[in-house]
Amino acid sequence: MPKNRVPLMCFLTLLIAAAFGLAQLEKQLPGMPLDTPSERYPVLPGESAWQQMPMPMCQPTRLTIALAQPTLAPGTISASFFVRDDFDKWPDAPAAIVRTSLIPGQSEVRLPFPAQVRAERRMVLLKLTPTPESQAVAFRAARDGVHETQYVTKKPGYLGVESLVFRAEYPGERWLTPVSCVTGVEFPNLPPTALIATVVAMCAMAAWLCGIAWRAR
Amino acid sequence: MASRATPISKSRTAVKATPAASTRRAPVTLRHLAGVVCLYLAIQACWFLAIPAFEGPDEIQHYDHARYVAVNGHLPDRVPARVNEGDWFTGEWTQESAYYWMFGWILRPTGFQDVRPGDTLVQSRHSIWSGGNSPTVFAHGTPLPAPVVNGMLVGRVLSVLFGLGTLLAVFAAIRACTHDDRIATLAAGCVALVPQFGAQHIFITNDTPAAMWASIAATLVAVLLARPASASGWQPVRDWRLGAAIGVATGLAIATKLTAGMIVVAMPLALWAQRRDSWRPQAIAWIAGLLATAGVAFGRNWIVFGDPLATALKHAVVSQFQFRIVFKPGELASYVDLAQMLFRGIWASIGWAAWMPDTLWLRVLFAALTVVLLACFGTAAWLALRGRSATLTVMLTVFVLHAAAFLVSISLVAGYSARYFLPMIVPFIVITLLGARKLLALLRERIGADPVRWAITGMMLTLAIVWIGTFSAVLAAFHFERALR
Repeated sequence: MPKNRVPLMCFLTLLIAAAFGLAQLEKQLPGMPLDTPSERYPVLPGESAWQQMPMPMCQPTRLTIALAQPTLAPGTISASFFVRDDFDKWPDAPAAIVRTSLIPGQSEVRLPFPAQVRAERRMVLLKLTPTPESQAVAFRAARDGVHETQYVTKKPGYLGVESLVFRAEYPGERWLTPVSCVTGVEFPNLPPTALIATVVAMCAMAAWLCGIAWRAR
Repeated sequence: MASRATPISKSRTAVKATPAASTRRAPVTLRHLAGVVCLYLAIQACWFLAIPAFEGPDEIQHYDHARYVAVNGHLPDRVPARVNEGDWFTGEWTQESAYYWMFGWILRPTGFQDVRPGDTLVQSRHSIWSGGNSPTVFAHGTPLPAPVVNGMLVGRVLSVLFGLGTLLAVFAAIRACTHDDRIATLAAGCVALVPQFGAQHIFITNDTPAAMWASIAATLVAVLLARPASASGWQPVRDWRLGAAIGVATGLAIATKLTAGMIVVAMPLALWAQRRDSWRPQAIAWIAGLLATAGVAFGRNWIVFGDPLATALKHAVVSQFQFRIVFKPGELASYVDLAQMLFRGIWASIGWAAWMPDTLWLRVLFAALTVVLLACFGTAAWLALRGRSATLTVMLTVFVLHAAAFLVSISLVAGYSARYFLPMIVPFIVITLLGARKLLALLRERIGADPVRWAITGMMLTLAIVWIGTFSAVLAAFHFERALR
């Protein structure tokens, strides 16, 4: 084999390995494009549907859920936060209930993250129920799945339900991005692309090392 | 003196006689060195991003020890009456002082030391320590105060630099032994690619400087023992300055961490192995270097605590924290645990809770690489017994003495970690590399050069793939919890 091809082939091999590793990792990242939530967050008996929400990492006290379309009439949404106990059991009663108003034209639901939830576990169940006087609200789905509730709108990409159970990961210690929020380190404040770039750089340097190994005597 | 002057003048003449060779080689060395540095920095950037704050073993305790120096302007000078007396983490007061003194005086002018690191940290209830499966000890929901973040950043950058120093020492030691840039690059690259090395060298701890100083000392001993090779332009310095440098590096290693102490035998062994008449200037300079560094640190202990090792302070802290001896020399199970601990500690024992990826293919590859290392080590021991190389004999003796001291110390004193072998990086790499060369030469004779070439390249590739696998697993483990499935 020509010696100058060895680093290139090693680089491609390592890149494939890194892509595979990062893809495996990505499966575990809520809200990422190629997420496979059915493995990580299976729909449990009794749940009408699930949804994963992008959580504001550096503002862990606020939760924003996008709506499929702006609301047309005033309404109210009741959010019940369920928190798992130390034995990973979901309680019957919510740890906190938060009501929030929707005004016409609003395209997202903004909720505070209650202290009771924050202090406990990072995995919460969030049940959003529009109050009877409100119109049905369509939430934007991060991913279309085979859920019984999808018949409500029939539109791909949307979940229109009157009562929706979210399974969300509390934006605390188990989030990948942004790094500064995980580590508490302000510098380097790098996006995930930088993390991927460093891994690619490492692959390139390791491939260079393989080239040296090929030429070593 | 005449006997010393002759080889020096000869060697200088030899260098002058081949200027073209020297100028041709220098850029190659620099290019290889630059490659090693780039590889290491890329790897460290990954680890830096992956592991949250204060998740290193006792990292917060090490940081607070340095912060004590930064705030008070001096090292601890009293025996604490209780655990964490005066709101200081006292767990690392048992350590030698050089690292904390240096780090403290770097922190002092920054003002970062004014905020305590533990105030906003919340202990995770799902940590391995608490019976869970999370490798993180702290919940990182609340961002740390900016001064703590900045102070931690300074400490972690220092550790990365210490790791770079160790890596360059490995490069220099192997180059001194083999006179081959490529082999030196491969050896340093292999060390950088070991997941444990990278992860360990972003944590705030005195292990990293101790490893660096010990590595520098071992490298200088290797340089001392290296034979002149006129073809490569390589000429070891054979005068008192090299002895002094070895003494300073050795002294700093010991004054940083007592477990690096066995490196002290390297220089006497090297002088004995050389059997030269002109050993006295180097020996005297070596002792002076030791006294100027370790002598100061232990002298301070003597003045403040009444004995050079500050025994009263160490005993008090050990009893307050109820550190216990886990290794029982009479029990077979202890040796099994020890082997497992060393296996994890060599490849991947990440974080405070000593977490290791549980992926089967990773463990199989780690085991395969361990077998290769053991084969190389065994071959090197066989070579040393036949007295083939003074460098090999000296390094092997130092390593064996260190291993023996490790076994004795874990039997008698609380303390049980594979990190105690970090100061032996250079001796270990020199031993395994010289063994590997012999092994590969034998293999070339048996099966030909091409399969051996494929094997070497394949091993490098395997090491890189193992790193990728470990890093991916670390990202998942330190940022997600599989129990949530």
